[in-house]
Amino acid sequence: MGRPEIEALLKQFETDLGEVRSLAVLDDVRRAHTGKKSPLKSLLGKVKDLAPEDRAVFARDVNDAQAAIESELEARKTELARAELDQQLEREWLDLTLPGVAHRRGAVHPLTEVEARCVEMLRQLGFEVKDGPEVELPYYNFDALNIPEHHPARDMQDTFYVGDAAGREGPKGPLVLRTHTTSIQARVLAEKPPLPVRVIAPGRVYRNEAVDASHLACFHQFDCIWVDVGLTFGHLKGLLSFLCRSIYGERARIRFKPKYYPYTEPSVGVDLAREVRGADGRIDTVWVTILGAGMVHPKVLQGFGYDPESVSGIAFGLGTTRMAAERHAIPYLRALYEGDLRLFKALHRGSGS
Amino acid sequence: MKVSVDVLRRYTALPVEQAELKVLLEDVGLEVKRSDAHAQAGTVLTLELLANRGDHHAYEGIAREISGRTGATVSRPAIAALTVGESPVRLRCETDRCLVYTATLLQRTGAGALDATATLPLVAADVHSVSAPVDATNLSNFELGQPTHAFDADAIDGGITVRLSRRGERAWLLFTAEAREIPEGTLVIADDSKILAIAGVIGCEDSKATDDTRRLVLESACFDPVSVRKASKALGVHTDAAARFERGADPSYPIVGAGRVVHLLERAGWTRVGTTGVVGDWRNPERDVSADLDRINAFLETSLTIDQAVERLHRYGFHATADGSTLRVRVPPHRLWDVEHWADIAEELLKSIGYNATPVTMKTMDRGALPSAIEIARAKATEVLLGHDFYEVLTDGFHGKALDDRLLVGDGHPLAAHVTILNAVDRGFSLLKNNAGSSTTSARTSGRERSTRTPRARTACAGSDSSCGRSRWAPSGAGPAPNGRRTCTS
Repeated sequence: MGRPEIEALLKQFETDLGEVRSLAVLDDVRRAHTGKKSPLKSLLGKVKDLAPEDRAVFARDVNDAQAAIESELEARKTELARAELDQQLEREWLDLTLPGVAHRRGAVHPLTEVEARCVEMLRQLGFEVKDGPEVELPYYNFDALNIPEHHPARDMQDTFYVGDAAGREGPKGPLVLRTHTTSIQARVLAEKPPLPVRVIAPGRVYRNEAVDASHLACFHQFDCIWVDVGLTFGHLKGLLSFLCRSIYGERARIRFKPKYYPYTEPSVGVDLAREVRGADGRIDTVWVTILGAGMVHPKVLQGFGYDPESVSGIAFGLGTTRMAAERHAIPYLRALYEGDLRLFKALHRGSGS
Repeated sequence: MKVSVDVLRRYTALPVEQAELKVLLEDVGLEVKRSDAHAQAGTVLTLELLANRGDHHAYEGIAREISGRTGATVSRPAIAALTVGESPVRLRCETDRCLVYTATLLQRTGAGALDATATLPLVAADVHSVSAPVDATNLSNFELGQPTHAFDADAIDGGITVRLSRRGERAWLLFTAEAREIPEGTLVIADDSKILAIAGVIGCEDSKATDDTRRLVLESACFDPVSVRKASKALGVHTDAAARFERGADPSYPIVGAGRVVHLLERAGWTRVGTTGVVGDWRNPERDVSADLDRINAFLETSLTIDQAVERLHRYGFHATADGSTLRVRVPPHRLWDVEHWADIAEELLKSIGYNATPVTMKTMDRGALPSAIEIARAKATEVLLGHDFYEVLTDGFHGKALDDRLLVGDGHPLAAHVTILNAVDRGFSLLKNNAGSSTTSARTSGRERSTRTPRARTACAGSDSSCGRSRWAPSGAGPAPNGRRTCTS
């Protein structure tokens, strides 16, 4: 018994101390190395068994070791306390130079409101928001989504082709203004993220078509995709039912109908029942199509490297511009993009000026 | 497509009640956009068809789709049995973009018109009657989905060749004032000296059938969809025939369509001369698609038996056999263009059951998601702005040159390098905004024009740098205050 044993204890202490990252753990280390049942205390208890001439030296060595341990514990405690305080300050840091958050006097755009509501609902289900470019490669906008060149589906969404400032095409041909936010889904899947993939892709889209009361060349869409093992058509219907009832109320009546989208199979349209009073005073049910959806086409999944034998996908898209207009009974979609503050004030405060 | 309910009843059994019929049609993917009462054609429904289904562009195709749900039989109108043999005119096909081309010669032997009942599909579709031959060819398309065309046989110089157009070749298209150049490589029907028709798109004035025509060459063919689509787009000519061919026609139907036209014309004073000539290399590929019924049942959450699946597919024209749970489904020629995968078979079975008749389930979710750092930052900034009387304004993504003047952006300025839109139909869409300043200026301009009495109107604009798609907030100048002064908010 002697110095080697004390040095072993000190070495063990140094090791334990090196792993301490919090005050709570430090307290555990303190108890382990200086507490009543610590090896150090045990050594002191054995002093009486030593030869009288060795007792004083041994006791001094043990006391020195204990003093060293306590000193290091104290230093570490100070260090940890400072770090924890720094972290707390970091967490609770307040930028006093920021303007204060006052009572809302302005308002977000009606479209942003709708979008935020949808995001809120879907976030509960694990969907994350992703962004993507509006000037897009034709590959992500069409080809990756099972819409090859000369496919009739390209007629459904007449496309703006873009060039540089001088009107020149890029080296690999023209780029396009994305015709749907589904292109963001394509970009997400191309990165091959681990399953499940649950992504929301809101944004502005463009169609090269004549503008009228119900059609715009630039409007907003909201696309979602969920790729996972074992997804079924029932899951698609369940998800869409949940979303529609979250947005339009628990009593909302919806129906599903066949549709065609090249990147889904089967494709689905979702109609919402609206009660309309006719000229004769009778209440009629009118079905309004509110979203398009479907099971991701196995060819699309395969194109992104997923095995469609085991992996399936759910995709759907909402026209948020149309939804915002319907919600506020705005007859002309263009009004949403004209920046007429009288309209927004009337919508949000109930009074125009 | 405008469809007479009375005519559709000749093809398959339909619900008596109008409301019930509407629900049925929409449930099988044929959306009823409007319903009108027509003096001759009875109730006429305007249907929105699925974009990929060429076979829906005809009464027979619509009836088959309904039958897929109801199980009722589908009847076909009377068709003359044509004998294929030596062609009445010299026929040659020089391209594989024509799958099948048939020519039948008819001669006028009496006077007559088509039966008024037979022409109801044209009446319902607001297609004006031209002459018996033209009306009969139109009917073949509306009834069976097989476009046909009648040439004046005496206007044909030599024989008929299906080929690609040559550089500088011109054609005088129907309903136009003069001949125009046809893009090189366009699929055309030609005689020895001129173009007779743009294949699958439109005929030509100098070979059209008129009231004086004594002999007809009846064309009934199937052309490559992409070739027809390219020609239609290049010429800016969109016809019912092109709409049908672009979506993929039935290569087994040219002889059927010709038979229908012949049947109609034989009752209107015309007589067949000789046999029907056929050229083209198409042979029925007899494509089979394998589909595991257990997999489909799991996918749709249904419990169809093999017998039920086979019977339901048969309604749509598919012939299916089973080996254990594996269905081997023979794709019929009218679906060659859109059925190639087990998921397509699943969709057919789903339609036969009804999209609303399968279970609605929710998969257990393991977790929710948190907003990203950008979303949190944006929400905080928004909250601050809203507290200071800002309104969020969105503008469209387009930019006009005049806006540069307001932004003091001259030539050579980095912001002058806007993204150019190459094919904008409207000059207002010729450039794309490349900075939030454009958006805020647009919003402010609009606000000034419209909100002259808006007090302390402050706007913030979610601008967008479209080249990267990152949207951002940018404060703009204010609208006018009541006393005429403007408050600046930036």
